[in-house]
Amino acid sequence: MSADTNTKSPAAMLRPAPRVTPETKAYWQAMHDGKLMLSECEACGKRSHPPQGICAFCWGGKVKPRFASGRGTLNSFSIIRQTSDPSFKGRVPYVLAYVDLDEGVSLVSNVVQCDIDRLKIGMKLKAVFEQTSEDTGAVLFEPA
Amino acid sequence: MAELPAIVGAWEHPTRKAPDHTPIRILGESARGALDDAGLTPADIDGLCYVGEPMGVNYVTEYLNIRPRWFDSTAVGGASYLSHIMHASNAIQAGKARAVLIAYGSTARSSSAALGSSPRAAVADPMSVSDADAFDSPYGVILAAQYALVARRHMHEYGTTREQLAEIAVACRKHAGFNPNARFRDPITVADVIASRPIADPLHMLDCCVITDGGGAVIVASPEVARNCRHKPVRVLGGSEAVAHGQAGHRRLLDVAANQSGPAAFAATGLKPSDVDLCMIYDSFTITVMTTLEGMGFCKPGEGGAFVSGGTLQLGGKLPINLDGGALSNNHPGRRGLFLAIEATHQLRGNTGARQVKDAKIALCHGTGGYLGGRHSGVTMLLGRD
Repeated sequence: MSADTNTKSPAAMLRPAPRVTPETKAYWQAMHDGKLMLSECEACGKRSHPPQGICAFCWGGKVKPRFASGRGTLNSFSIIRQTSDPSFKGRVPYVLAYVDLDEGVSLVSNVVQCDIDRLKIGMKLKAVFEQTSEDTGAVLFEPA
Repeated sequence: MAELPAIVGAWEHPTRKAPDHTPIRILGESARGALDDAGLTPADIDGLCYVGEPMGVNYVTEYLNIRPRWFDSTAVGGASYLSHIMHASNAIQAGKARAVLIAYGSTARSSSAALGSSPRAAVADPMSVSDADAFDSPYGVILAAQYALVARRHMHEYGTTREQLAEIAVACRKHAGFNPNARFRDPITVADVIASRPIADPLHMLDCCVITDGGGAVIVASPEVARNCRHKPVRVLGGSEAVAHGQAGHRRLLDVAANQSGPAAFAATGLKPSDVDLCMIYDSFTITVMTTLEGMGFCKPGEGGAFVSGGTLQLGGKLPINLDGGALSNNHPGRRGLFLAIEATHQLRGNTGARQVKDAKIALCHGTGGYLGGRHSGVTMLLGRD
């Protein structure tokens, strides 16, 4: 069985658009445009995800966008068979994933276009993007 | 050393389904139950702890018609009530209160609350700090799957099996068989857990806690008050609190809050894992217990699978847990932390009948609140009899 075959969703199957704040507007716009934005502190050089207005390590106020290559590794995953979320009921089974990006930060996402039986911790992944509204999007991962 | 504050009243509401009750009525009946258990009156209560909606303390005090001089509404999920007990103990030692009521009521089951499978989405609120939920909303994150991420990683790194996780559910169900109020009491086997319906692989239905209505209350009192109460005091020996979270993208999934709160709790009390006679561990899912046992130091990281095998966690075993049947079989109205302390109190009094751990002197309670694979709290507390 292939998980989440609805990657190219009809409008009715759009993923829920995230709530956008002034702090995350650029992040979601980048996602809409097919780029995964991390942040990097100008003072301490540490990279963060999700982006926020102050550095999560030194609390410095100067952080700059840094765009991820989209390459990563599957750290862990769960196959969701049941949900009460109306936006996802039609997608079960779908794969929640914890992905380690090559840039050294990890994030929660979905693995799509992959047979469930082929899922394996350590497998190489590449980012794909899906628009969720006129100015937001989501990053998903496929086998590389 | 001066005498420590103690739990003098502990009462768990017997209901598992109460469609005609409101949460606050269950809370009120539980408060009365704990008060009777202690042999105190409403006028004796001068402190209150409650976790819930903002300003919940104002509503609870009004319903109970008390005007406490100290209160706390620390809200870190299901572990909150263990924090409350320790905060109350500290406040009593500082002279801020003499008898603190900690109470809880919920109609999660009658309200059909989908605690483990509901969506997460950030809401617009000018005073909310939970913006980060937005990063989960496009991906269909549910609570059970956040725990499953940790389970899968544990299996990958250490070779832990689903059968080993199932041992935890089997132990809790066995103990539920001794509890007439438990939601599910018929014995189950490892094979039953394995064969149950998958929810969020690798977690199946019987790896997940039940959803019930329910409530309970505890009264923590000063040594002076405790001397005149109906039962032997159960001392709040101490403990520790922790949180774990995404760490700006640098989180390792097996770095759970228990890894921090457990060793700190033993350090704070001068006790060690081998001193503990029984554990009450928040068993939202089987993996929660596995990671907690390792975090507390009952076994080394990665050895949880071997540790739980062979009946270790069952009554009569080396480290019996969740003698009331736990969240996996007894009750789970949403925030279970208080029930951990209630059962531990009765065990240390020695009055739990068929499920009594023989000669129990020291009990460890550990609560996990939130999402094990994401942000969550961990609170460890040690209780002891004189």
